[in-house]
Amino acid sequence: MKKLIQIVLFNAFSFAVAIPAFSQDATEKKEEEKPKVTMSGYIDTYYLHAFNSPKSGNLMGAGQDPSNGLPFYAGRAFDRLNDQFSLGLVQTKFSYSDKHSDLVIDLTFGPNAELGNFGNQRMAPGQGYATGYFPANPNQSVLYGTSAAIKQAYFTWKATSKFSFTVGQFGTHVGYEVIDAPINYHYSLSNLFNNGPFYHVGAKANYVFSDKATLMLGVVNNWDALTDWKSQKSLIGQLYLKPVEGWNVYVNYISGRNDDGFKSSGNLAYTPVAPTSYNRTLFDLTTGYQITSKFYLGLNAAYGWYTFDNDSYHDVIVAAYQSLKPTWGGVAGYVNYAISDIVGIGARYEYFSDKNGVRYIGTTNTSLTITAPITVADGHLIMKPELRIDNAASVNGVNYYEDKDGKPTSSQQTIGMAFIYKY
Amino acid sequence: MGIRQNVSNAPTLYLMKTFFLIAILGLSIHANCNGQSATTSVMDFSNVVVADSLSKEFLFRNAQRWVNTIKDEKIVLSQNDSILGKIEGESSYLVYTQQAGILKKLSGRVSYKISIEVKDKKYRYHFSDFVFHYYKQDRYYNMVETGKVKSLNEQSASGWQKLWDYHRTITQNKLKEYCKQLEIKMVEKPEVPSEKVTAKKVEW
Repeated sequence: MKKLIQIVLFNAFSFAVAIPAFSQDATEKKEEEKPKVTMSGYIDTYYLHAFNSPKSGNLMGAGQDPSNGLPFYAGRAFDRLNDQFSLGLVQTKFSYSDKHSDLVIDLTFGPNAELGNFGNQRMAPGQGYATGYFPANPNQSVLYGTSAAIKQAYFTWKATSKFSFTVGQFGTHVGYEVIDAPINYHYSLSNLFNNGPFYHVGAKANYVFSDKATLMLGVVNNWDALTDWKSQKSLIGQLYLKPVEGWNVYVNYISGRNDDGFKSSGNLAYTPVAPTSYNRTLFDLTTGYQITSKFYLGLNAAYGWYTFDNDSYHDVIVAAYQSLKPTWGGVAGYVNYAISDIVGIGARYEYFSDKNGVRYIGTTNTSLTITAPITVADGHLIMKPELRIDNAASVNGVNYYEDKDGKPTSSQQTIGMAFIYKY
Repeated sequence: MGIRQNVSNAPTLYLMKTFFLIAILGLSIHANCNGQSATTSVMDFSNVVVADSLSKEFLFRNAQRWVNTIKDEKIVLSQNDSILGKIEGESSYLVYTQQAGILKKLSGRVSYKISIEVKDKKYRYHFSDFVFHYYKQDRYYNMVETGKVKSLNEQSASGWQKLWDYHRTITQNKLKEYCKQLEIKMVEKPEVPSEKVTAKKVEW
């Protein structure tokens, strides 16, 4: 009996001693398999001063005044307001992830959210330039309400460790920069970004060959529009390569027929140059190399073109774009150096050409941007003092930017500060 | 061999012996793990442990078993040699900025070196070279390593001190727990699969 009590007592004690170790194992295993929910987001505010002091109060260019005879004005797409505190964007992002799936709900509000959804405003034609994707059919246009607050909403099904499948509205795979200010090194956005796609609605599949190579292929409605005005879909693709550790290369592709709301008639209220058809294709190279722990180099290059049908509208198209195959493209180089955990310095030099006027800027522009991000408050607050110098080629002898009298001038220099708080 | 005999001949005596061993080890672990890291603030965890009557092979097998219990880390062994009695390698785990319930937000990765050496009746372990690897969100919203690193022995982190202290505390607590678990595991008797009793057809 005594022995029995001894054994029982010992077992109870050893159980108590041993259990923490085993339960720790069990907890770790559970932790690993537990679904993860992340809530993140940011707000940003900026203040800019342009040395050319544009009369209009914004940085878009001299084309805003029809008397200057410039058909284009998109010199600065997002951070466009001068000499005032301006709110950028308010983002709330929820994501859920487990072993087999991911879900992203990315909601944005504010001026940059409107601009990111520039094709989906509930404006009647003629009340603003951003009415390209306003569907003429009221049964479609009624959809354009809270939908504009959705920047991304998609799920990914990880069928295997190598193959995944995504459906919904997702940020474009094309380009180096994104709308999200905390992710970009510079606050002001490049012309390659402004003139490329922002998002797509569709489906894509991703296959991981190895940690050095991944291929994505998909089908989407078009660019930057919630609904489609045609039955043909655009094809998207991305080849990711990692030649060496720290060097990432993305080769991006998108191609479709009649997938530009500003150049299609279809079911839209907007009247294009001519009711003809075209194919549009864009190739993009995005690459970055972390040379040392502090020194980073990046490059973005893009080349796109439209191929208009050679039909009865031939002369109209050639008159508008100087060719049946107008092109656009550019290259931007990035260099960043992390001086410390708090301060860094980086520069971007960009050459962008839209000399056929097939995108939004309608000229050739060079741009130098120097930014020195300051990160404090456990990484929550990023302040970005920034200097940007733009020089644009004249269009039909008329300079692109705007001076204090509202007259054309060839360059625009801005200095400013952006305040980004992320959580 | 001796252990097996003890087990089969005198279970109570064996259990009592094991109990005292665990209890003594538990006390010694507590002192070693707390002592080293707390007083110096250096992320370095080591101990030499006397394990009377336990053979090198027994200890090596248990060291391997302990390594296998670490499920939530990525361990790459550079040495796993039973002749030399050495297990060496590097392990790493992710650290988060936000960890309340199921809410998590990745901050970075901590890597460190593992070394366990065994001999007859004793062994030593050493967890060292703790390094924080910075992560950032790339343009595709994936958290990726920037290539920038910072030793966890550094106590200051300008601009993100609170988070840095949190990562250091998490690491200290985790490794103290590992020390405890390892020292318990090292003296643990491997589970012997019980023989199945199956009815045999016997010719009559």
